Amino acid sequence: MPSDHDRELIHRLLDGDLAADERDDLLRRIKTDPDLAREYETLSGPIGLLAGDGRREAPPGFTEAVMQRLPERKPSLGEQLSGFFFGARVLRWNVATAMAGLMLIAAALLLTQLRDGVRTAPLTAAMQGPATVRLSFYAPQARQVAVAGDFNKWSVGSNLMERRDGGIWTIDLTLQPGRYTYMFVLDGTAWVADPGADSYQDDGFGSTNAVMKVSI
Amino acid sequence: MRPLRALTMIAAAALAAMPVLAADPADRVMDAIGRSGYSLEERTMLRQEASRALQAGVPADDLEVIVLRSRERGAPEAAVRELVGTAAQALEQKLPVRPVLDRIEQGLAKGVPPERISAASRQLVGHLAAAGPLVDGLANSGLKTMSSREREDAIESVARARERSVPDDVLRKTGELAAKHGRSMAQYDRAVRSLAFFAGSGVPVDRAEPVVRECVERNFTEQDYARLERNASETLRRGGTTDDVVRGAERDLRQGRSSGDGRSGGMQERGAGPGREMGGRGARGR
Repeated sequence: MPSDHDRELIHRLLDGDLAADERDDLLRRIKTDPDLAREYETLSGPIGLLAGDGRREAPPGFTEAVMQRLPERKPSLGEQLSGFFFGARVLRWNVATAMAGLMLIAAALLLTQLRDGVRTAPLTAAMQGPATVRLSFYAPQARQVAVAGDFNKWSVGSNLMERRDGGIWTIDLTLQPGRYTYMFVLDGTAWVADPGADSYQDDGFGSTNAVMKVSI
Repeated sequence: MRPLRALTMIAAAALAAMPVLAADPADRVMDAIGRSGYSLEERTMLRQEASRALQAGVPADDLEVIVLRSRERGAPEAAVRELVGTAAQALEQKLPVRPVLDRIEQGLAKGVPPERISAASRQLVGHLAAAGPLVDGLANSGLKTMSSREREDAIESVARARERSVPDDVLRKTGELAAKHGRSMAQYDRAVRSLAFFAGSGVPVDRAEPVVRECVERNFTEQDYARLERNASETLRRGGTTDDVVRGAERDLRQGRSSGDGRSGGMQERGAGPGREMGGRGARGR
């Protein structure tokens, strides 16, 4: 079995790097040592072939074609992260995608509100829609009864009540959920707070408004 | 007609109508001033003040109501200008303008003299300005605020409570208690309105405060507060004293809060039925 040193010497012999005395000594040993001779045969075959003139010229465009088929270099992890965070992007969208996005945002907002157990007033109002409230007032002597409040800018002529049997006046108001202050106006002059109101609130002028809370 | 052409025509018509629709309310305000019967000089000054108010963000519909109602009441131009200016001032100070407009419109509708409306509105603006930092301070100290509407409602309620001479210290402590118990700004708002209600009914603040504090601790709902206030109103209507009101409230608290009065859903009915006397404690003829 040839040693690594012998193999190295054979390589240098084939490359023509050995000094004359080293070359003669090695050749002599190759002739006498069958293992060394076999190693020499094994190594001299491919090297001799490569050294021969069987080399062919590549066809035109061969290099470019090979380069094009090579897979792109895989970017490093750092380059991938940098590209992910700082690389410019073009957002492609359509109406369906935008609507889906908006619905997702709305659902997330709704879930947040519900999780906290309280809904915001505008959201609730928008979701609930208006409610119908019937106000009634007993005033058999009155010729006309109206309801005025912050829902109609305290207009005495916008919401006239209807007279029913027994001197009862009624009106149906369609209002968004919320809190409203109001009074009944008798014959355009006498302002009366609803005796059956939810609660009452000072009007800032020494009188008291009725308060109603409208909910769905 | 092709759908595309029809859509284009509808869009063009809408675009053409937009400037007309947008300009309409402000024009109506100026028209109302033009037909007010004031002198040319007065109309010019009033127009200037109305422009300032519109620029500040006062809704044109409200300005139109103020001008028309003032004219019906025969209010002098200077008084109308002051009312319009007070509304503008509220918005210029970034305060909620709705309570100010409500007070002006309500006062004019009820026939309150313009100078009294003006004084009451200016006073309200002052209280609103003082209420803002108090409410924001409570929000910063943990009172949960879900929307700007809740904040504005609370500012209005604090301002109204201050009008009823409820001290800032009491309002702040009530808010701190609400925050401590994890209550929302809306719940604090309701507690403050109850404080103002009791104060307005003649109950001394030092008697009303413990009642309302207990309501906060017990997590009272709108219906619970309404029941408490209805009972108080009924006590006063029957000729009871403010001591009776407090004793009644304390009795209600001892008995525990109700589960609500079921006002939600379907047709909601309110008002006095047959057999009740016409009018009530708030009856006024002006």
